[in-house]
Amino acid sequence: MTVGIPKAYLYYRYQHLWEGFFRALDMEVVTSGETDRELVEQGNKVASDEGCLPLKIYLGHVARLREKCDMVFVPRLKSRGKFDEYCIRFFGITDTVQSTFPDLSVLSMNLDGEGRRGEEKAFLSLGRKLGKRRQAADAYRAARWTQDAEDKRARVAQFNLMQTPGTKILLAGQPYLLHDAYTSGPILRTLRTLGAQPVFSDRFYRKACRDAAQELTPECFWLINKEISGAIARYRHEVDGVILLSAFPCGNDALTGEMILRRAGDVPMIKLMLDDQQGEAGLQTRLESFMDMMAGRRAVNG
Amino acid sequence: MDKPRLSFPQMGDYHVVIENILMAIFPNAEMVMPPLTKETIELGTRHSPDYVCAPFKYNLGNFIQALELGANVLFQTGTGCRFGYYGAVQEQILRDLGYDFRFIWVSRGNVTPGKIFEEFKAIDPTVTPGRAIRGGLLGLFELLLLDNMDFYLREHIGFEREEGAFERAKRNFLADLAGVTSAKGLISVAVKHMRAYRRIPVDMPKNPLRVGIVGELYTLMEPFSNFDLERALARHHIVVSRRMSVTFLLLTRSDRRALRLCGKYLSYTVGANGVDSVAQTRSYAKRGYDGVIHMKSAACTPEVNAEPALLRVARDYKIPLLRLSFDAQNGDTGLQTRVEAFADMLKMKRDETQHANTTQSWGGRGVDFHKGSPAG
Repeated sequence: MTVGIPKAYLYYRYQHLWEGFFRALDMEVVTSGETDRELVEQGNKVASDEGCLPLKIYLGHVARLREKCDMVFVPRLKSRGKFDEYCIRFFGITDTVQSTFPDLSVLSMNLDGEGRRGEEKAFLSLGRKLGKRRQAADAYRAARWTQDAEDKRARVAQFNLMQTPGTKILLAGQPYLLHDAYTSGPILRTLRTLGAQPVFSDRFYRKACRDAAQELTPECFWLINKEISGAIARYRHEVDGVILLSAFPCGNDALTGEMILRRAGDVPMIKLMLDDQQGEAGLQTRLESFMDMMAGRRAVNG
Repeated sequence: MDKPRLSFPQMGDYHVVIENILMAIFPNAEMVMPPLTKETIELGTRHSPDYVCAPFKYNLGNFIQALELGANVLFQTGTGCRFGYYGAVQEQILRDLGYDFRFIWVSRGNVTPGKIFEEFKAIDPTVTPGRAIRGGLLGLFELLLLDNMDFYLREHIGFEREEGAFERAKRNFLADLAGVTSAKGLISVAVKHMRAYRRIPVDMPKNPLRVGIVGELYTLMEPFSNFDLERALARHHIVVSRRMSVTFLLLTRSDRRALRLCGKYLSYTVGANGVDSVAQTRSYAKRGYDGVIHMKSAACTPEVNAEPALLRVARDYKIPLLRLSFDAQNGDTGLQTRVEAFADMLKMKRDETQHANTTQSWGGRGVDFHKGSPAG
């Protein structure tokens, strides 16, 4: 049996966990490949006009997977605890996909529980649904282990990068914006040509970031937004500037972004908004002037 | 602290009830409630993040106007979706604007009754738990009465013989409701005005056009934010049913029941009241309504989540669905045209079916109101 996983949304956070779990259950896994213009347009056609850019990208990936697999894995991600919720979009993503593609076979999983135990429970019930009750526990543990190891590897790599000399820019945003080459590619390219090294907000120790979020976004209950603001709270003085990356019209980012801009204005920071009509030229100009401003600031402060 | 001057965001006519509750708890406080106007929303928009949902802007505008008039205690709640985080951002924005106030944010389970009571004590040291509970309970019954009266009004206002009769009655009712201070007073107000409503002559045809309204709660309940859509429908002689109200939100809604009503159209809740929109659309369709209107503030995530399922329900049950999205900058001309076109379409559709099948009894039930029953 082949399971398709759309390479969008929280695939960029749980890639190894999801792929590893299915592989350990002797299933074949296909992903939908990289995002490109054509795929976004395809998603744009089926998505609600008011959906966010990542939703359009996600539906584009699902559409591309349709022919390639027996079922598409669309997990419903709700929460990891009372004050650790995912974006509301993920509450309904399974139903959105199912209603958009009525004849598609959707494999869902309901993640709504406290921490790792909640996660384990969700995977066990997914295993039962697949008729592989016995292997599920081991499969989950192995996949979790791989995911943790990969997260740690990325964290260490970024830590070492932070120790090297040179200009560092903290790119802060949802993981599916940071690591999707379609959304962040132009930004990363421009930054590198301007001689700056990007570091990502999701490659720090996440638990510490969640705890540090209190400084900038008190009482925030969105898991990933907490990690973003926590990363900024902890590391904004160790980098030369911060870029807040957000997609149109992300509601969580609108609110927490406002808090971050108002409370962490002591470092150079700009907010970049992504939508599906973006041109690269405007982006370059903004990034160039941002870098100039930073350089000027450094010259003044010594 | 000086004399407490209290304020809270407006929503529909509910300020009457909330004012009563607060006045019962803080008898020597003063209420500062500037009305919701064009200026409110302009102020709110100016100081809000760019693409936050419209209710945020309305609430912020309310707060700024109240603070300008000297309010020093602001109340905000927060549940469900993004609304759960409004309070933090609004407080920050208002503090950055340089206002000095006490912000009481009753949100998401991190506030216990004990904590709220402590806050109340800080505003007014004479507050007693008994007074707070009494005020709250009386307010709850006022809320039930207000919502029930509104159900009746929405389903009949389109057919009043004398134009403006219901509106006049409603104004009288609200004026009397605002003066209620005891259970006895509430009962007499209820008896008097229910009777007054029922005495208003209506020319109700046997099978009127019926439209159900679903969607995001603030937009539904604040007529200013939806350009008085319900009244526009009434002008076309349409029975308007709307089960979503504060009573519904606080007392009668249940995710489990709503999911059951959704059947195959939703397998999980989709955040806030998205699941209710789908469930109610389906039940309106089953009851033989002529159409459903789905309203939301622009880019409301739970309702956008519900949309694909809504479209599927509308397709499967062949019920016309009008989807309206509101933000702070809409003009109402476009809206009037769309509502008119929708009403005309419903009329034409009705005429066609009656021509096609003259002996058809309309669902066999005659006029099927849910007589003010607030149950979901």
